[in-house]
This record gives sequence, C-alpha cells and structure tokens, in this order.
Amino acid sequence: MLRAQGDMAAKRADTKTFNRRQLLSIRGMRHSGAGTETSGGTWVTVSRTAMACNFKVIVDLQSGRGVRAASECLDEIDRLESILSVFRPSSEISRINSEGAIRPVLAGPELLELLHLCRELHKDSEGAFDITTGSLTECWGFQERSPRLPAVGVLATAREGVGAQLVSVGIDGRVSLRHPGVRINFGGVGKGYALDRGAGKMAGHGIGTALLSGGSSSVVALGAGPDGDGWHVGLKHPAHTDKRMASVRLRSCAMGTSSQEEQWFEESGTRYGHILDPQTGFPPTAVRSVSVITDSAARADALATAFFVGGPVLAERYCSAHRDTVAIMLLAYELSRPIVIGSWDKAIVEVASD
Amino acid sequence: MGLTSETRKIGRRNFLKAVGGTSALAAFGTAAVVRGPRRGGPVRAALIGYGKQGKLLHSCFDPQVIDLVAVCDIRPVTNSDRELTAGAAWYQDWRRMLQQEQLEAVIIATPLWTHASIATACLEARKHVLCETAMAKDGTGCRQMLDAAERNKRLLAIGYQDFYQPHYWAAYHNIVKQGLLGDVYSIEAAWHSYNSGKFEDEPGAVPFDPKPWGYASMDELVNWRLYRRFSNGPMAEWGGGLVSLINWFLDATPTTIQATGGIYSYKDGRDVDDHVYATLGYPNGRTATLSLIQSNGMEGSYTQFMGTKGTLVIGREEALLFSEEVGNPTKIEASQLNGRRPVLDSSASRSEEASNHSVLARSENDEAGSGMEAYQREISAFCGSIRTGAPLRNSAEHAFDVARICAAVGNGIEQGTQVRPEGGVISSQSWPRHSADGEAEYA
Repeated sequence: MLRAQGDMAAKRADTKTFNRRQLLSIRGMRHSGAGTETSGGTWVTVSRTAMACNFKVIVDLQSGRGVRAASECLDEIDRLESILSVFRPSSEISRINSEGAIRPVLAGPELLELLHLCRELHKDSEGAFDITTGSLTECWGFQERSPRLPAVGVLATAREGVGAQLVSVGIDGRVSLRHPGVRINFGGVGKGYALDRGAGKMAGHGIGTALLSGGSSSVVALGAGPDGDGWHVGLKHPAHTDKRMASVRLRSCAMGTSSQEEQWFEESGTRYGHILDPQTGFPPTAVRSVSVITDSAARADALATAFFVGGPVLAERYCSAHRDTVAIMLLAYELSRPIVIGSWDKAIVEVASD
Repeated sequence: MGLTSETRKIGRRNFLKAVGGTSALAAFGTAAVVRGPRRGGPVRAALIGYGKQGKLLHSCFDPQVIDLVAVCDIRPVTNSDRELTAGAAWYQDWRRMLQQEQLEAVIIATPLWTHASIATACLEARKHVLCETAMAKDGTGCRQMLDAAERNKRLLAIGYQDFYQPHYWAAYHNIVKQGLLGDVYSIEAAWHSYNSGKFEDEPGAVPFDPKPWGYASMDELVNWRLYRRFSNGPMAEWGGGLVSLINWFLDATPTTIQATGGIYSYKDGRDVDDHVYATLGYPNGRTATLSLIQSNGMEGSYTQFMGTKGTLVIGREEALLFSEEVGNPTKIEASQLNGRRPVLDSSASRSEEASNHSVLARSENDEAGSGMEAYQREISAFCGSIRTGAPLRNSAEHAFDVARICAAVGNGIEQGTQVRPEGGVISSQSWPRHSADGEAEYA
C-alpha cells in the first residue's frame, strides 16, 4: 500500500526545544536582540520549479546584481536538467541509457564532469553511492511513482545492471554501457551538482553571500549569511515534521539530506523506501535520515545517500578520513535525537534537546 | 486591458512577490530621505496658491519637516482657510510676501501659466522651490526656472510625485532595473476619464473680481485648465505624468512623436483638446502609445510596459505583473531574515514541494501607496534635500524633458505630421537645447 506523504508546512521550532547552553549561544549571537529584527538589509527569495522541486536563491537585494544573478543561476539549473534528467527522453543521460549499450554516445562537458565525480564518490564511499541503481529504482517502481515489491527474478535481473564498472568513458568523451540493463540515474547527486553550478554563476556575478537550495534537501551556503554568523538552516525531524531535530550554521559550504520519507510504501507490515542498496538491491533500514555537510552540494547529496546505505560505520570511517565532512544521522532505533559525526569549522551543529 | 478580476488578482500577487515587502522600499532609501525631524529643524516655507491642489498639498505637510510661515492666494482668504493655516501670514501678492517673510522655501500650486514667473522670482530671491506640474507653459519659462535655480544654487523640484509612490519606486528597482520584464519594446499609457473637467466655483466662496489677475471671468480662473492661455491641456496636465513615468522607467526620452486629437466631446467653450492620442518613439525600437480621453473612464489611468519576459501594469491604484516566460516562472519574494530563526528548514526532498508557496507577509491590497502618502513623501523629501543636500528624484531637468515632449505632442496635433521633440517643428526659441558646456543654445 502506497501512502501519500503530505508536505506539512514547517512549523518553526520554539527556542525552548534547545537546551540551556544552546539557547544561550543563540541569544549571544549578533543582531539577535529584540526578536523582531531583520538581519542586515533586504533579502529576496528568487525561486523556480526545476527537477520536480522548488529551487530557491536567497540573495541580498541591495547588492544590485542579486536578482539578476539568481535568475541566471536558475537558468543554469534549467539547462542542466535538460541534460541530466532521466525523465526527459531527449536528455543526454536518456540517450546514453537507451543507446549506450549499443554504441558509445558522445557526452557534453557537464555530464562528463559529473560522471567523473560520481566515480570518485563511488570509490570514496566504498560502493555505497552508485549512479547505476537506476535499474533497481525502475524495478521497484519508484521511477514511475508506483512502487511495489519486485519479484525475486525481476530484482535479480535488475541487479545485473548495477555497478560503476559497467559505465565506461572514452578519452573521446563517449560513454558506453557494458550491460544493456544499466540505467544511470543522477537522482542522488543531480540537484546538488546543479546547485554547485548555479553557485558558480552567482560567484561570477560577484555575489559573496547567498543561500541556494534545491527542494529542501540540497543547500549551498555562499558566504556567512546576513549576520555574518553563518547561514542558519533548520533540520526537520523526518518523523515529526513540525519539529526540528537540529539546526546548523553554514559558512561557504553545502549540505545534503537523504531520508526515506520522500517515497516509500508498506507491504505486509514492512516499510520500503526509495533509497536502494546497490549491493543487495533492497532499501536499507538502519537509518531514518542523514544530512551531510561538506564542500560541495554534489558531494553532500551523494554522501548523504551513501551514508544512508552504509550507516554510521561508513560515515565514521569517511569523516575521520575527510576532515571537511560532517554527518548528522538519525538512526531508526533512536529517533529522539540525531548523532553528529565529524566536525568542521565551517559548520556549527546544534542538536535540539528532547 | 480588459483583465478579469481573477487575472488582476494574480497580477497583484505577482507584483507583490516581485517587489517584496515594506522593508524592500526602505532599502532604496525612501525612509532615509523622507523621515523627520532633521537637523536644522523644520523648513520655513510658504505656499503660493491655495486652490484645490494647494489645499491638498497643505494637508500633507508634516510639521516636523515643514513650518508653514505664509500662504498666498489671489482670492480673499476665508475664515476657514485662516483656521486651517493657523499661524501663517496671508498675502494676496506673492511679491510682497517674498519681501516681507523670512523663507527658506516656497511651494507653488498655481495655474500653469504663472509657474515660470513665480518660480523664477522665488529662486532669484534665493528660496528653494517645489513647483506643481507641469513645469512651465513654454520652453522659455522652463529654461528661466532652470537657470535661476542654477545661478542661485537653489533646489528646484517639480511635483511628479510618482517618484515618491512606494510601489512605483519598488517596481522600478525590483522589476525594471532587475531585467524581469526582459526587453521592453511596447508601452501603453492611458488617462481615461468620463469627466468634462469643468467645475463650478466652491459654494460659499467670497465674491471676487479676477480681472486684475489676468482672468476675464471666474470661469477662467476656476477652469483655467480648459483654456490655452493658461494651460497646455490634458497632455500637459495629465499626460505629463505618463511621459514622466515612461521616461523614468525606460531611462530615455522620445526622439519622434506622432499625435492627433481635438475637442470632440465637450463643446463648452474650452479651447484645449478633450481627446489626445500620441505615439512616442524612443531609441532602440521602443514605442509608447498614449491615449488621454475625457469621454470614457474605462480602465482609468495606467501605464503598461510590455517586455519579452513580462508585463508590468502600473497605476496609482494598483500594480500588476504578468510573466511571458514559456518555461517555469521565476518567483521573487521578500525574505525576512532573522538571525535567531533558520532561513529554511532542510529535509529530504518531497515532490509536493514543487508547488510553490508564498512567504510574503503583506496583504494583497497593500501594494499601492495612497496619493496622499506620495505627496507627503515628496514634500518631506524636498525639505530633506534642503537640509541634507540629498539629490531630488523629481528634478527640474526631468520635468523639462517632460514639458518638451508634451509641447511637441501639441505641435504634432496642430501639424498633423511626425515631429521631433528637439529642433524641427518646435520653435527653437521656445525650446533651447543644451550645448556641451551646459549653456543654453538657441539654434
């Protein structure tokens, strides 16, 4: 049975949900005296629907170039969607998925760059992040939004098309698929990549401070925000969307969030989510939500998916090897508060009290 | 325009989202310019002309920024007027007033034909001047005013108060300047009224002989806008505001003009047109069509800027914005950022998020500032500029261009051909051009 998940309006958490120390640190922040203030100048949110979600750019109106830069940023995201979306038959990735097993398909620079990044992330995440899980997503019915438990044989066939080694990129920029069942899907990284490119456009206009978001899951913080203390972003509790489980202050970094709350279905009392383990072909169950903060939105998105699959053990291992990465994980057996793995001076994490 | 109420509603919402909330207006310095009191205290000023417009302006005076020292009107003062202007000295002759009162500024709300002589004399007496629109009846008068202001280092503001309408200002900065309309090639401007513009004298007015003041009858005094001797007709009185707005938003002035018009509806002795139509050609293929009619009030007064990305419809009462984008529309909303609260809440994406929602905290009907508010801002800004030296938005140079265009429209109607605002059919004596060194040229 598929349950439609309503997008409840975010109810802002009251400060009483933070413990006393955290509350004091919040009160001590610059420009936060009377409670009615607007931090620095006038900010506008420029938004557009793309990649089946709402992309937003929050920018300082007084910068003069802000709205124009944001519009160009969103134009860039539109452009990338036309290249990367598997829902568009004419996109480059759709052509590769349909023809790549027959003949090498010439790819543009963005797609090649993204494939290269994904290969690197696949390796760094010990295989937990894999863009070739498209065949799994299809057989579970998540792609056409009618999920179901696949038959054992169907799942086994789909798994044959999974594996980073099945995608090869020639030096001539042509992409080949080594199995006809391979379906590349940038669902776990595309939004973040688009945001990174959009952020590049903003920087090209000389915009030093802005907040970019794709849906609610991918965020890029340019600069240190309106009050100079970092962009203040809340993390909604996946099970109680009227509550925040944490909030973060981001300076010149990015955050990506993955959870199964977006798409799932329940059958025979078991809940199945849309994030699939490339090794098993099944949805992982140990984690309810992962947010990753790192240097780019593409990496943050991909690692959030990887840590969702690989769990806290993988996250610990990765974050200890990469000092520019922080993971905030809510585990299925401890829904009261998330755990924070790693630390980085560009991100301040405040976990809400019970 | 022919918009349904539902379409208007959508357009209003779009506009509000695009221009943001009240704080967006403050960001452009409106509040900083007009707020009082200020150093030096209220500006000691006189008001010349206490007719309908003079009374309206007076009702907008903020005692924190302007101290009304004297009032001047050719008509005898009534007890009611004295009560309303308590503390101010009254004069019938503005020259005497200038001699006797210690003034810093003068606000002029008299019939158009008197603007040049009064304003120039005030400027020569080293008073700052805020003069109602239009600037002057002819180019010579405009030039005299400009020269007097420059020679005496005094401020000369002309009352194009749209510069002080918050929604106009916000539309210019948040929509036009940000390129949200794309390339604008077509502008439609209208001033439609089902009103003859002919008035009776106010009931209870003190009997008065206007002949010594240049008016053959009370009708000429009360209805001076209907006679060419005193006015340049609807184009100057009402069309000037439209031209002012278009010049401002396009940052240009027309290079060609075609016009037609006549007295079609009101055969009541007036000698100014009651219908005027003009096509103004701006550089780079931009064309504005103006219609000023007094036989039908459909749609009232509005100006419509039609660009490749969007259409902005703006008037005193409302402002609408429509998108021409083929793909997903871009939305712009004000953001109230508070350091204590997250700017956004992050979670895994949900497909439902694709439906946008507004975070704007203003009501739908809140976008258009009232006309009174604009007058208040205009007067306060004028006084503020006297004290602080802040530049005027409604400058005399801008008004000079507007007056020049309005006169050219009149010439176009008379000649029935395309005219150019500078040179050509317009009397060079009337409309001197600037030379490179700033001196007036009489070619």
